[in-house]
Amino acid sequence: MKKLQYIIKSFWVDKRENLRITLFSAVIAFVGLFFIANIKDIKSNIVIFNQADDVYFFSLYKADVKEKELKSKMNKKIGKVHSVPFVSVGVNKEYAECYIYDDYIMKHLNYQFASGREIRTDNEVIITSELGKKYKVGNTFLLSGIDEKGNSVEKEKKVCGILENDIIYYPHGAGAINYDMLVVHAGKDLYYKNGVITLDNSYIGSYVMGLGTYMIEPKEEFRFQQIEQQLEDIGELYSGKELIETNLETLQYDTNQKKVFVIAGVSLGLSVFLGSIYISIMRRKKEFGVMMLSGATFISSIVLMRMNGLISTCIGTILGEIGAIYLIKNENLTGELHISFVLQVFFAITILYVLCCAVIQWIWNRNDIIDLITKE
Amino acid sequence: MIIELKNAKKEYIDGKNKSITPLNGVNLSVEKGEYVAIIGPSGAGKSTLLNIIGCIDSLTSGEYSLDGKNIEFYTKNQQADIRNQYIGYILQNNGLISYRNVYDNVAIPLMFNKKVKKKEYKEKIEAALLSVGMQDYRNRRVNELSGGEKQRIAIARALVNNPDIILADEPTGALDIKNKVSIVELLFQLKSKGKTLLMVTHDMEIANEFKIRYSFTNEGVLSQVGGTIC
Ligand SMILES: Nc1ncnc2c1ncn2[C@@H]1O[C@H](COP(=O)(O)OP(=O)(O)OP(=O)(O)O)[C@@H](O)[C@H]1O
Ligand SMILES: [Mg+2]
Repeated sequence: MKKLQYIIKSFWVDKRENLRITLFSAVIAFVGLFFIANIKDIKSNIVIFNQADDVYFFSLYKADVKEKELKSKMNKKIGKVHSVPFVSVGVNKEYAECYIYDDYIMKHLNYQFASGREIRTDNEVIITSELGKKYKVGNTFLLSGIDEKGNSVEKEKKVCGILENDIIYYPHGAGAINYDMLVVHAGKDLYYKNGVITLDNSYIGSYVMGLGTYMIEPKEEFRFQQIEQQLEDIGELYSGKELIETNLETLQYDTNQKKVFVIAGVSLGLSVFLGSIYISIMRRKKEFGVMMLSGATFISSIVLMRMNGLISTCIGTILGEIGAIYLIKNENLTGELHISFVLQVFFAITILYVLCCAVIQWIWNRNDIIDLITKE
Repeated sequence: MIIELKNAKKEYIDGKNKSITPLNGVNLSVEKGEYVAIIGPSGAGKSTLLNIIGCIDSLTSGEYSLDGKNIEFYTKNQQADIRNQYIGYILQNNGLISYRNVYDNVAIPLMFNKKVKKKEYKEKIEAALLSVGMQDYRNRRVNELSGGEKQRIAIARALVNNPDIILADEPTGALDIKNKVSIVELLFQLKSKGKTLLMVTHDMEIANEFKIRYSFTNEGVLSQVGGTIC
């Protein structure tokens, strides 16, 4: 209890350093979480597709927010919202080249086979003519990708059909492995199954870190034409193709910028941490020495002296993360926010603090009691 | 023999590769309950000697035994425990943490004493402050205190764990006569409790109060002076 009191009182002793440490750990946590969660600012949020008589609303992200927006702007009923996140980092060559279309879509899109037939079981695939140079009908190969949780997934697939020509080339989103039958199409037509939809953006899903895809069930009570009339009211409305293009641009731009931000952020954070800890350690040198003189071990002195900074770091990190989470949840940003990301950022910053302490302690504040106690 | 130094030598190499030997074959033995004054010119090695005895410095050669056991045979942690429970060190220039309050300064040695229960902390700190007549100063910040008051707090801190040996490095250094007398009286009151005291002083008047006096005569050589004077 007494040691705890001592640590708490130390906050006042190190108030400036602690304030700085809190502030900067908050900044690093904020930026760090954005980086790890791969947050992007999505340019467009609503895409409207038209299939037969049905109208579909899709939002790449935060469908619920968009739904509200739509409701308020259009004053119409809108169905329930589903979320379908895609987070795929990469897929193998086979994966990118194969099609897992089912019977329905094959007919619907009127694909022609060079050989083979449509898919009948879950472990069958249709491949492109390009891939057909390598595999024959009846061959099996491994599809590997990364699922929405970031785990790698592998599935063995048997070739059941090879396409005559690759009319449209849209490889599958990684989601295909999880959601089984996924279809993409560049045109206005769209097919979905099992309540899961991919937009054209599954293309992005395959190559670039994922985007969230959200779906509003196609139980709309109004028609596309009606919506079209009110397009101007909705504001940002893009076609699927435009959407991909704009977002791909954003993504490429983001990755480069992010690297700069992260390097700048980490070096800034590191220098503030080092600076603040250095000032505090040097100013409290004598206190450290008196502890050692009074029979404290090196480690227990360090714990007593540095704990308040560690707590400041933790508080700052938590505040920064809360800020990041709040922003991600409430603003028009996309990204995957797993609890593991939050923990990773938390521990990374805490470890950064501990390392900084260790380095400074090692260089400037070794175990020489006389040197310590004679410093004023 | 509570403290025994045999042919103790401490050597420093200064910046110009010149060697300084503050302790050059020092022999010293102190019995339990003895009060010993150490005098000598500035830079002679008095603080160095107390640092060695206080287990915060080690000898270049020679032997230092505490309670009959060579200090080299104590582990680092055991030495830390000795500093904590067995030795109370009143540092030259008091060694207080100026930005903390009196209570916290006195509490520091208690925090590392495994033998004292946390419940007893308050009681022990109050007792130590009372023994130096500073009980009303517990919440004052150290840098608001006068030199004499600081010195008393330094003594309270050295006494809080009830150590057997007290090392005092010029505890009356910058004080006026009145304060000097009261500090010396304070330290002499501990004699009845069977404590052992080693005190460094420049003040011959104070030194003369001690039966046993050692003086650094030549460079780094310690010898007993006027042992018979009462
Ligand atoms: N860490 C060190 N490195 C080099 N020389 C040192 C070191 N510590 C002390 N000395 C030297 O050892 C000598 C003795 O120092 P010490 O502090 O013991 O003197 P002192 O007798 O206590 O003097 P004072 O009465 O002024 O306090 C001095 O010449 C000092 O310069
Ligand atoms: Mg000295």
